[in-house]
Amino acid sequence: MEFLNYFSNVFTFTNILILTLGTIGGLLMGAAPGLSPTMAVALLIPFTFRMTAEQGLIMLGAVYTATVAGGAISAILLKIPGAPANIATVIDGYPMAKKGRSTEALHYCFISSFIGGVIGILVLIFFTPVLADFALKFGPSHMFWIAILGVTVIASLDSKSIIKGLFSGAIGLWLATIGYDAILGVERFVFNPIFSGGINIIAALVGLFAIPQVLSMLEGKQSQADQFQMEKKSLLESFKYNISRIKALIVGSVTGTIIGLIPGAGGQIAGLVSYAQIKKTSTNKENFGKGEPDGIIAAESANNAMVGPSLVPLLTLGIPGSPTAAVLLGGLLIHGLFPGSNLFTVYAETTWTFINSLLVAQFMMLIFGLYISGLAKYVMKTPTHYMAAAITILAIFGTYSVQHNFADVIVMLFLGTTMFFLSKFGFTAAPIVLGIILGPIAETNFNQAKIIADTQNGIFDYLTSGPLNLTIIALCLISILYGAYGDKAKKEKK
Amino acid sequence: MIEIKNLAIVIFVMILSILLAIASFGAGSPQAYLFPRIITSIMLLLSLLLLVFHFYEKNYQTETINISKLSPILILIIFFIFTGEYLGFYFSTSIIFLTVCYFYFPQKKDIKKLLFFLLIGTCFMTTIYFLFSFLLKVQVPRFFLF
Repeated sequence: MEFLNYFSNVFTFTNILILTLGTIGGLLMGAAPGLSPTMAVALLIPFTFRMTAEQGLIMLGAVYTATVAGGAISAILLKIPGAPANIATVIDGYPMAKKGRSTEALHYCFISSFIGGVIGILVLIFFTPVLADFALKFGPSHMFWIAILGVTVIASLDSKSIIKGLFSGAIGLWLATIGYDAILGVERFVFNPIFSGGINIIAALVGLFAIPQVLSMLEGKQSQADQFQMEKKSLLESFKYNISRIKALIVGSVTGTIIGLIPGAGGQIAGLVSYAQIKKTSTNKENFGKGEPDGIIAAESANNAMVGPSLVPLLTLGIPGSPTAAVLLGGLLIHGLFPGSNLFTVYAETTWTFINSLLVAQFMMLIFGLYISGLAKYVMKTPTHYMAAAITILAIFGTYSVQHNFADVIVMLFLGTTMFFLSKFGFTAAPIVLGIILGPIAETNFNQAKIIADTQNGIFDYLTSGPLNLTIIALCLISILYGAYGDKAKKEKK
Repeated sequence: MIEIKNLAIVIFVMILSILLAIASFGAGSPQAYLFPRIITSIMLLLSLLLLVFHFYEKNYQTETINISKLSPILILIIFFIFTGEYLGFYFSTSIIFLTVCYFYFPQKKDIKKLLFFLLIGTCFMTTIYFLFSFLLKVQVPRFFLF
């Protein structure tokens, strides 16, 4: 119950202000089609640079939570999911709105997001310290394999092809080697003086997530979807009905929690799997797709229940549970916080305040979500050209503000534009970003392992001996095979 | 509209892997370059697998890129890379804002619309100025007054 010792830290004036702004901003950003949680968190990281680690993480956590829930607003009212996590919400949310029940659908969405979110954060609170203690047993060889596991898992789950996913991860790992070698101090791949400091994580994050989105927005056709009038509906009535759908809530929250714990899976999978599960076990299957509240309740409780558990492997092992958590890892690192047991010993105050703030953020998301959904329709109407111009300018200023280095802006724009073209052919940004983030961890531990191994039976023997090494290697292979199997299944389906 | 074949991407990936492998294996200090060499070897292997699978699965996927629609923003990005530092961030990004709004506005454009974009652009850039220069104290490259 250590978390209770730091609970009051959340309720300082500054922290509550940050939480409020993060939640409202996150809900509005989530409602804007095209602004995914990953991109929103990536764009915000430079702004947290001047805050304390605690304040910065509170802001990022609140935005992460709120964007996932906010994405449901445009999913229900416009049939455009605000984020990939809300794809399943569209299936029944939009038909409900079409039937004149949009307020009711939004009520279910925020109430179930809140319930799922609280369950997810409780899992984070109780699981993380246990896993962090276990992580103390890890030596250089284990940490090396853990970093590789992070890349292989996200490559297999977030890519259209496992080979392309792994290649993207390898590009990220290679990009991370640019600059000075951490152990020998040798300058590597500095073809131009602008690269002497290596690739800045923030520049890579913002570029890889924001710029391809801007280019896609400008390349695509403008969609003018229908908008619905919001009917009057008693909140208490919605709450009572929502609670009575206990089965949908349990299916959604449990599925979301489990999927969140699996590194790399993310909210999209959580929402779709729980939707499929509730549909399969429902007595009124025929109503699904036509405006069945259980569909919204299961999908939304799942995608928010995923948020907390997705941080469990992130905070303990440095393996993100979702692409947004991967970006959040960048946020941790720029504040000098490294995943592992240190977070719960040396930085216990910052870590627990951050985790507690996520719990408070769920309440704020519920309160503001219910009242802001009416206002969000104006954000949803923002024309694409304004949105694209604003994101580009924010990306430029945000990237520059981190190190006051124009080279970072050039790297951001170059990586982003290249990523846009590569994404057309199934390459994705998340494995590259994770490669850049985990690259230094993998290389440093590999070099340390090599120094130890040189006094023993050699590096191969050192890296492949012991049950823990073999288990992590097996998990790496399973994730690759799972990705290959998924590719095969997709092709057979076609 | 330009069409890019999957094979072109596979070849691009192969060339990239070969270039990075040359850079990694051709450099000095084997100890410092050991990790990049392992990575580029894996990249070579994966690009080879991509080529094999391209022919084995007869993946003749073609993707179209609407280059005429994208050219204004791509030109603006290049423009910013070369002039951003000299023209100043506020000035050059204002040009980006106005150009994007003007070119990508889907309906008929006239002088009234242009003035409207100018108004929105001024409001947005003022917000950015206050946010970065006053709140975050970020000193960005400037040109003349801004």
